[in-house]
Amino acid sequence: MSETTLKGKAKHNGSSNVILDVRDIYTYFKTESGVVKALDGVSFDIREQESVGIVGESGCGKTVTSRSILRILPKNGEVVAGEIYYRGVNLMDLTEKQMRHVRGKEIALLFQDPLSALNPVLSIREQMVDVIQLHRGVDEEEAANIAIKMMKAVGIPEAEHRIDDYPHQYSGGMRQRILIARALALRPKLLIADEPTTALDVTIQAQVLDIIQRMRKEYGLSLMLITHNLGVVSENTDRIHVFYGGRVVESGPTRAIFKDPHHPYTIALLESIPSFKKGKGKLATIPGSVPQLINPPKGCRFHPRCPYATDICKTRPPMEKIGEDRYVACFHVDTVIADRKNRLAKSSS
Amino acid sequence: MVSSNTAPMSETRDHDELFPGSPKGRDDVILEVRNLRKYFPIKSRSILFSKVIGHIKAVDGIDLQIFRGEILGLVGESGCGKSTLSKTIVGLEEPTTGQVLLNGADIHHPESREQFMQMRRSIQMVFQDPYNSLNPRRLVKDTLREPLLIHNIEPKRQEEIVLEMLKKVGLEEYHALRYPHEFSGGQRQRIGLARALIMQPDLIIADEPVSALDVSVQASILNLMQELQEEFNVSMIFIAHDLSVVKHVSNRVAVMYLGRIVEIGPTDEVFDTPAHPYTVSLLSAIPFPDQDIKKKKIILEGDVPSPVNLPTGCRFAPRCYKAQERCHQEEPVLEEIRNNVWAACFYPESEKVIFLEMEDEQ
Repeated sequence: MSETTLKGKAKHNGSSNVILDVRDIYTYFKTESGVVKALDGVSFDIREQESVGIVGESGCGKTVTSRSILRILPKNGEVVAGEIYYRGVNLMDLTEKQMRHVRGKEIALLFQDPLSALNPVLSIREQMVDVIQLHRGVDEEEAANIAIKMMKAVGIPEAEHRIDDYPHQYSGGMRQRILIARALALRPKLLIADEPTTALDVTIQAQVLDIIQRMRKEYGLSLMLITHNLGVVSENTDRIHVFYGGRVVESGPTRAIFKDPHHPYTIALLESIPSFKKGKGKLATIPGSVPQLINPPKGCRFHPRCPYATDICKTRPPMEKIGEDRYVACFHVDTVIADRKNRLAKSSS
Repeated sequence: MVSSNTAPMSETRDHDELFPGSPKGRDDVILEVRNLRKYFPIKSRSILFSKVIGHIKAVDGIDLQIFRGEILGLVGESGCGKSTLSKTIVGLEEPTTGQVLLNGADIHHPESREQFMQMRRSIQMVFQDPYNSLNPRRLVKDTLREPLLIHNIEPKRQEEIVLEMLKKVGLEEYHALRYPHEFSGGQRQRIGLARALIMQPDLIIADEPVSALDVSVQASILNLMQELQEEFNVSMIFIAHDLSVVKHVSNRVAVMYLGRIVEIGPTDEVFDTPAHPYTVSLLSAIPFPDQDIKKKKIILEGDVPSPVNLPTGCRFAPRCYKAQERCHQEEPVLEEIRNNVWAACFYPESEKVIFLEMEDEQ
């Protein structure tokens, strides 16, 4: 059903292999102390079968982005402008009923906290079978078979028995596997994983990321991986979009950005993390703090903390292409790049 | 609170004895943890006759020495006993067996009120959550002054000390008259550090002090902690799950698994060439931002076993990629593998297993 909905509505024809095209969205929240401009003109895209990382510190708009895409914002939040094209269809134009076919079946969401995403008083069977029946149009028995098959695929031992267990009988890592199994049982084309491993221990995190990657390849999924963990992004994505203060400041292939970041914020962020290769010396820090989005700085959101800032930075810098697949929103990008090169040359000589 | 029962006296301590993992040739021990065990009873849920049906062995036989001015990183996954160990060290938990000696005196059995007060001054804590660890209804000044009041510091000096301390942690004098909600997470952690340092302790236990902070803020707090540690020459137990952070700050590192130390040694040595398969797996599991570090992926199967029903033999054997017959029967103890690196394993790694190509880079 959703197939037809989507076909009928497809007006926009972007680059053929783009599965999600977010164009200039503005999401605002009304609060007692004013309007919070959580997303302030965010544009980015995700291609078919691509793994894309959304990176940034708390309050930069990562989670609001995923909620805006799926239209599951809290009551006081609203996408006030912009378009979100999913396979050519603007999700903003869909009715709530049509949207329900997109959620889960087309775009699945994986949450940070696997315990609160599961209902504690229903068995895993009840929580999986219903959803599969509804979205895949199969009978109960077939749905249960699919559920067990998916649970086995994500590495849950004795899935035939464990499907009748309740969420509290599973460990954190196992719960996240259940959620992955449930999400993928609906055969979505895009998986949005919002900090999927933040609540897990490192060895379990490695297991879960490994499963997500394996499933992604097996089912040809696109992945939008939201995380503040630069290590996770570095090892698990093809491309990244760096968020700062409700905007995208830099986009490009993961490898290229980690090796050669161009935006002053990305550079500062990467230099501030302790690394196994860096010595014990001082870590680089970013002066000041993350902007208040009720009353954000004019122009470039990063300029009050930026060593390169000049008067022109009080106007909004456009996102400009500066290389193969690479985009940066900074007026001084040439100086920044040259400067970084000099610094690296100095430190290695 | 002064204990009246005759506790083991400090005289029994053998000053020459070095524990597994302690650097050779050092005699300036601040803290000594001796064969420490902390079991929590599990009771059956009967109203009338609740009886103990088992124990959670949170800390199960730890020997550890901390030397003056060193930072010991304590790493391990959730449930491995890191927090119980630190709580028992500060005296918030009574040990089931074993002792914690601070400057030679048993922290759980002080000989006098003075000694009790002295020990409380000498050991301080910094907590993970800068939001919940400060009293929201108290001015920063009052929070910082509290320990000075308790320990009867001259009232005139108190304000001076508070203001001086605020400056040392990078805050201004006017911050003293503010409430915690007026600060950012990073600033609150600065206040937490000021509170810990104000009594000039010998030892600070920092339990995940930066894991609630964003990376850019984390960097400034780590820098500050290092500066202060040098200035005050205080020893520190630094608990963290982020191994890059631990590598950055600590001189020595202890890796815990299910209530025991499985590997301990100089940080750079242990992280460069880990000996215990658990350390190897842990390092392998951590995603690194450095694109040019090539490492081997070892994905552990299964979860951490429950500390109630411990596996027989080596605790790590059921998940270990190297486990042999012997590992399931006998429990290995810490032994020196290389210079100062100790591991509890029958088949330790002796060569670089994960960071195969990192050396080429350097």
